[in-house]
Amino acid sequence: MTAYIIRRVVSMVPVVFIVSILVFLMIHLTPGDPVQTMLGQSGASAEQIRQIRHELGLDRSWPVQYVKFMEQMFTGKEKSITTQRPVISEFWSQFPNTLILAACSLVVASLVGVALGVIAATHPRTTVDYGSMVVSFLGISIPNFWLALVLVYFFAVKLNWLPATGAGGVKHLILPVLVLAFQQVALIARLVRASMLETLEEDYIKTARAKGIHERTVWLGHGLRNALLPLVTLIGLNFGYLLSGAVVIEIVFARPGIGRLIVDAIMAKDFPLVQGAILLTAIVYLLVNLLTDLSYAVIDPRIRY
Amino acid sequence: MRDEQLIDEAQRQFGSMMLNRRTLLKRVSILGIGATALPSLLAACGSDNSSDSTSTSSSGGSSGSSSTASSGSSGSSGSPPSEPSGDIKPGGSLTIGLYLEPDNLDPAVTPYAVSHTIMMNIYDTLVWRAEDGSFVPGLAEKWEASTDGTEYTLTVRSDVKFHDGTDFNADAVKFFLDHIVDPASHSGYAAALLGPYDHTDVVDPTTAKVTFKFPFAPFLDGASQAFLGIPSPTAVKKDRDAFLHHPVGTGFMKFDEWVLKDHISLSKNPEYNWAPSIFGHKGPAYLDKITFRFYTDDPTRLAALESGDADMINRVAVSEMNRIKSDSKYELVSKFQPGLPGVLFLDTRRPPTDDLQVRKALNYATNREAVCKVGLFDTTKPAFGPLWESTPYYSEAAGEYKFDLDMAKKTLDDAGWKEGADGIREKDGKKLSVNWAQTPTQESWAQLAQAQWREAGVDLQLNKMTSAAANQAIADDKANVFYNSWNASDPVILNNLFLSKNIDGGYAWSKFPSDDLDSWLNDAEQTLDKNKRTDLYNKIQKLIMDQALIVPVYGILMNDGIHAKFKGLKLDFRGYEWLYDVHQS
Repeated sequence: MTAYIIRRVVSMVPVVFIVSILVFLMIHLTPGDPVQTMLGQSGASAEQIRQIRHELGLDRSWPVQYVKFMEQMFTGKEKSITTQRPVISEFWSQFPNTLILAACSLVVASLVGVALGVIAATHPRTTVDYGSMVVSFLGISIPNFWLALVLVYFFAVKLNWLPATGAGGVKHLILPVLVLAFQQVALIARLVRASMLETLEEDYIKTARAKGIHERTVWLGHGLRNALLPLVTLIGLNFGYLLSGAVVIEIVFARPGIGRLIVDAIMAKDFPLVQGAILLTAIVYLLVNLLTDLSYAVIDPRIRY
Repeated sequence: MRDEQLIDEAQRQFGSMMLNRRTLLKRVSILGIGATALPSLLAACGSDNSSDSTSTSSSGGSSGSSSTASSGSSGSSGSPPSEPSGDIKPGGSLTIGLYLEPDNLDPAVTPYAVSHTIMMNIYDTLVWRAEDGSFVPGLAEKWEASTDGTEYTLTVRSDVKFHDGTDFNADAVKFFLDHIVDPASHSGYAAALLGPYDHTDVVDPTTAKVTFKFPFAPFLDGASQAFLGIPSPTAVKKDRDAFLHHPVGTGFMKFDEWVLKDHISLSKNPEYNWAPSIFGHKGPAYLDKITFRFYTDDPTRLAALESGDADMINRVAVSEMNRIKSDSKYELVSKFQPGLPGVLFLDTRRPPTDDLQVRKALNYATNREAVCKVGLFDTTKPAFGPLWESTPYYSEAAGEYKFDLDMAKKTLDDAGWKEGADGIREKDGKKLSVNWAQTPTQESWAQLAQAQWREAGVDLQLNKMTSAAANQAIADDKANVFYNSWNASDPVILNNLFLSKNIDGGYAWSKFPSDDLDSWLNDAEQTLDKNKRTDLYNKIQKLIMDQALIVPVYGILMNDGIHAKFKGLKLDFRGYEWLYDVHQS
């Protein structure tokens, strides 16, 4: 197992390098210059723009800029152009916010999604089954920003039950989590239902029932347990979705987080911050994937690394 | 009745239910009387009157009319205060939703307008600009320019302390001005405000002599902006990087904390024991606390105001302004910003806008009134030149183009652009096709302009992109048309926009090299003689419009939506928020 983990971590390194080059190219190839953009709303002479670009090292060739960036990034010294603070500290100050949002959405969505999926699978062709599929269909089709704005309009502006914006406590989490979870519930419920239906056809289920085991234990202890593997994969992949979906949610609800950090940086063409934040996000995502793979071994005793 | 058809068509296109047919017809037939009647028409219709500020507050929170006396308490500024200062109970906290988060709060470094909004509370400036444009003492009690205009001798206050307890004095002024021009500050905007700054001599603790390499007329205006607000030298020297996010000034509010992407909070400075004469009271502020939150998304910002998350927001979306104005729970406080109004820059290097007749025709073909009424929901007025009417040295005579479709067509015909089969004009086998690098701020009226120009036979291609991309497109000569506006209280702003040295790598987006413009602009910056400046700026504005380097479209309305329970909000000469007199009623 340890050898496996080490192998996996080592294989992350080339991936991280490739990501860094891709991000560097993407942000540099898209049109726009950070200094021109920054000063474009207030004014400065061409001379001043040139001077500032020179001080920030933006007039050097791309390979030189890339090497400098990677060097500064790994010593933790690379600074954002807009805030002048180290990229790493900006990222870590925002990451917990996104993590909380993602984790809560994941938990809520998993619980609700699994429950819905199990009930649908074990009561096929009943109202619950059809109902849960409709919910799932809606969840996949409705754009999250639309849902967010509608919920804000009713619950915050009109009824004033919940805050419209911000990240203060549990009250501030309810609407954002609802929106993010809604879409995940859709996917999870469908998957669990399909997986369970398949599993419940297996011979060992018939054996369990023949042995006289309580039906609910059959569903959960035997059926669900075996249906979990694809679900774990989905949840691992969902994490990536959450990171990106959280961007929209963070903007609509004005919550701090890395989604907003990256979007604001892209708009300002803050090269170091965009490159650094995306790089760090990629590393986080790779680690999550690793954890997902490791968790297979926990759930399914047949899997050994 | 062309106007009527055009506006009607536009109404249908946008599905706006704002004006019903009857009022629209009524207004438009009055429009037919003449565009010169427009300003008074708009005033009569209850939108912003032709002077500078408007407030729907009945408590006299803003002065509205052009007051000649700039100093003195609010009593002499032409409007009665809402209640005598004795009745105002201090206390309360104000949460303000901004449209952007600042990058930092070091006035020498940050160029953002939102930074200015926040810095106005933390720092004091050497002078202040009153609502009528005159200068009143701030940290500088007296100021005197030498006869050749290269030296300003400032006598500064001796009774003011920074928030960290250190004394404010002439040394602080010298330190700060040098800090701005220090390359390590990479100062964009503050350095521009200092222009040809050379050095400062500290004559004694209350006297500083600021020397420029050549005479610099805009210095006082620059000194009245929070970008030249004085920070504590001790704090900056201790850790200049930390200072970026932990400002220390002399202002009526102290900096408390900045949680990135969430909020910046300030609290009352209890040691504040004075105030410039333009304000309604002296001593500490009324508010205990001011918190700034950031909402870049327009609907979110408005939702924050309406759900109570914020007591006040700036930049209410144009489409929502009328609704907020008519809602008694809120007040819309607004003022037109001086400087460059909303204009379309025409790239004179790229065909077909390299043709003067084409540029003139575009000016004639633009129905600014329709854009204001329909595209901008009747919240603003047309602009006709490179400076808005409230800008010092504004020249009304320069605005030579009024909407005249027939004139547009005639100009193009005479220049050889003949109408083709599809309605688009052609000359020498080339179509009259122009390319607009469109950014989100023009979303509500770009297509209207497209329809208007099509009437004259111009094919306008709208390319939507971010403003960063648009800047790049115009720099690469890939766009004919590019929109921008700049808030500026001195016409020296035209230097950045029209000097030939700012064409490549700068903001002279029309790319029109002109020796006349260059020499007039430089002279106007360097002479302190008001009459000479007037004469020069008249010539400059006329040349810019004679060459049709831009299509001026509309004035930019700085605005804030504030909960009616807060009184006393006023917008300054540039449209920024004065929060010092704000109190809870």
